[in-house]
Amino acid sequence: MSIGLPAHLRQRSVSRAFARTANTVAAVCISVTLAGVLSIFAGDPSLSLWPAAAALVPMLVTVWLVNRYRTTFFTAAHIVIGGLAIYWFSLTVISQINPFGDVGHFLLDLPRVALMLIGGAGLTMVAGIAWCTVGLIVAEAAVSLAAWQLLGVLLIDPAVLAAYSIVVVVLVTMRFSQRGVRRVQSRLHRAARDDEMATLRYGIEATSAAVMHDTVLGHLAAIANAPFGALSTPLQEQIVRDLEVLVGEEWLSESATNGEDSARADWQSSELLAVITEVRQEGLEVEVTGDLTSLSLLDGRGASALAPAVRQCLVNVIKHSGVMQAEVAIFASPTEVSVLVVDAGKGFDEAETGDDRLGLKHSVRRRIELVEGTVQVWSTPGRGTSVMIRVPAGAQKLSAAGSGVP
Amino acid sequence: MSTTTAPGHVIEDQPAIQQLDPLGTLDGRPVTVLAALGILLFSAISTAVDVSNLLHIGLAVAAIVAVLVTAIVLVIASDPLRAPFTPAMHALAVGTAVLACALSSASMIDTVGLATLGWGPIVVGVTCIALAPYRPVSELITVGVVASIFTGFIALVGSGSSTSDAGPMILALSSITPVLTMSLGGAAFAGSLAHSHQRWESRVKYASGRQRERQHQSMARSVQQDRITILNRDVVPLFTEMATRGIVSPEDRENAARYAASLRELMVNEVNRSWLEVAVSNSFGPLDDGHRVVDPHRLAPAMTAHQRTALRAAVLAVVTGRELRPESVRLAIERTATGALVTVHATVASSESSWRSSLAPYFAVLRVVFTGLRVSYRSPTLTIRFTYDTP
Repeated sequence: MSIGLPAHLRQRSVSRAFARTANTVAAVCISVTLAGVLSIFAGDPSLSLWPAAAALVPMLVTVWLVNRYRTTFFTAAHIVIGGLAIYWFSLTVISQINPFGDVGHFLLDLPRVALMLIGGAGLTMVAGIAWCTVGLIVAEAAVSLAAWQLLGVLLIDPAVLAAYSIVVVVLVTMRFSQRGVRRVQSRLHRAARDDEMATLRYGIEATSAAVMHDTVLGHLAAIANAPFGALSTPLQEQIVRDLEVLVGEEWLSESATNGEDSARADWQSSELLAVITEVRQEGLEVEVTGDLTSLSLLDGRGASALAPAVRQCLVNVIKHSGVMQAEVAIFASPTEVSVLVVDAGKGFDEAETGDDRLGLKHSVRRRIELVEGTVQVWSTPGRGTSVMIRVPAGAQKLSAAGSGVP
Repeated sequence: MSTTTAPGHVIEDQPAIQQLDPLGTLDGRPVTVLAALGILLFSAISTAVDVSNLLHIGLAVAAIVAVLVTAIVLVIASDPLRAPFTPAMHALAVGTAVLACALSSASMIDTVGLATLGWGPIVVGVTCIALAPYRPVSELITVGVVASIFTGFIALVGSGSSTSDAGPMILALSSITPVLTMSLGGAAFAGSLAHSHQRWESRVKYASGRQRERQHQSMARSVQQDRITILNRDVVPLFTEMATRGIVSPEDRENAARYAASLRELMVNEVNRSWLEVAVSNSFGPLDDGHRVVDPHRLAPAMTAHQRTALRAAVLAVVTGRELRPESVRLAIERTATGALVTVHATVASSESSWRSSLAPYFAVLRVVFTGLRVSYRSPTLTIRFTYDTP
């Protein structure tokens, strides 16, 4: 996942965000004006201020509509309705508040700012400034017309002009500050894509390494240690199977490595039983205990990872433990299936095993980590080894983030 | 709210725009700097214009000093090299602005009209809106509402001695309005951008999932082909012969042992090569000597997807840019008590202003996704250090 919005989306997103800001400010301005009118009315109920309060309601509605539907129609509608509302509001406020003074200026300023801010709805900088200018002219004209009718003066407030200038400066600054880092942003997106592809490739390579370890490497070692003369039938069969796997077209394809959900088997048809049967043929006595039905909690990927990992643990018992007995205990919680492989052999110190020991690393640990499971090893020289493999239940997708990265 | 000081791992109920889009925030920084200069100039000019109405010059000067502190906090804390903008800085910036508002109001306490409020509420409001890209929406709203209550309270206190025709309620509303409008406006800005980002992110996640599915098969074939090419050379002929012949000769045993050793070596090398070594090797091409990355504890895989992305982009920038000498770049990852420390050394090939401006966007991103980014320069060597947590 890349960091930040791509350049082509950013301009539109910033423009939309600015429109939301302008609409929020407009809505708060109108609400505060309404609160001001109501507070004055509460202080002196003899004033006929309800028409002023009523005039603000359509403005609130049109601000909401512009916020919801950012179109030319609603923007124009807001300016027309807002202009009329401000005219009506100004007539009421100027006629009722005497002396006009600070209170009158305060009440008339805010709706004007609200109408001017409609320019935030413009999709481009130029459109935004144009709408702002139209809003400002209509708002000032509405107030001035009312003031001229009732007081014979024009009421143009520098505060509203200052607010207009600030909005224009911000629109221009935002427009021209969005060009500096496009190249960097595109590099980030390229890096994110590369990372996703590298993670995907790593997953496939890890699967490939595990398959290679379980097949080719194991059987090359078996040949290297075999007595001269006739090849044992099981080894010959395994070599034939290796060739079939290696020459086969799809041994790394998703369907082949993930397994089908239909393959999540009951115990009798499980891959785990198949590998246990296989190592039993090599002379290892394997005692299976626990809840055998819990394997059905695994999805295809989990089952396909668990069986070869357990197989490698059992092969390690044959190769390294010095005993030919092992126990496989299966148990489950609602979220995961755990398999404990225990032997009472000579044990080992994991820290002292060489970097070239691939079995536990490739065939067990990385294979299980690819399905977001965990592996814990407890081993003490002279006291045997226990390997706990935990695989999440259900469909667990390979996460692109974090896990499974070299 | 932020719950840790580690920027790469800041846990936010709603992340700030700075976290989601560090480059966008860097782009928008001129607005923050402009706002800082604006409030300082505005307060100073307003005070100078209204000097005849001032009752306490000392308080007026103190108010300007408080605005100066606000402006400095805004400029310094929004610097991409100091990201992320912390809640403490947020509180300090808005707090000093509110203090300035109170001092300004007190300096003009006996003057008339809405001018009693002075420039204070506008300074508080502008401070609130200028911080919109740096903090989460909920915090922006909370701080804005609290600041508006304070400014309203200051106006109410001032209304006792004001001779304005406006009652205390109008004075309070007049004081609250700039703060409330701008802080809520800023929160709307941050909320809208965060929403855009999240919507885009979910679309990208879906699309990249589909892309991964499409790529999986072709990539699997490519990996398989690589493997088969290696195996076809020696192993497949040996296995084929063994399968048909069924006899093990001393030569077969010898060959099998040799092939196993060479395959094992290949796989061990592959296992021990981290994504960073592969990325550096791919980016540097012929310039890679195989020793650019020193990661004895194999800590590179512990980086998150965002950290890997930022570092990959920075590596690419170093190779393709002219600011640093690519052949001089060395990257070491060491274990620390809580995670890992990355140290990058490189020789600078351009002027200080040039590399600083060219690399600033990368520093901004690294600063957000990693922790404790430090850049030190002693001509001609540039040293960049940053840390990250490891499991």
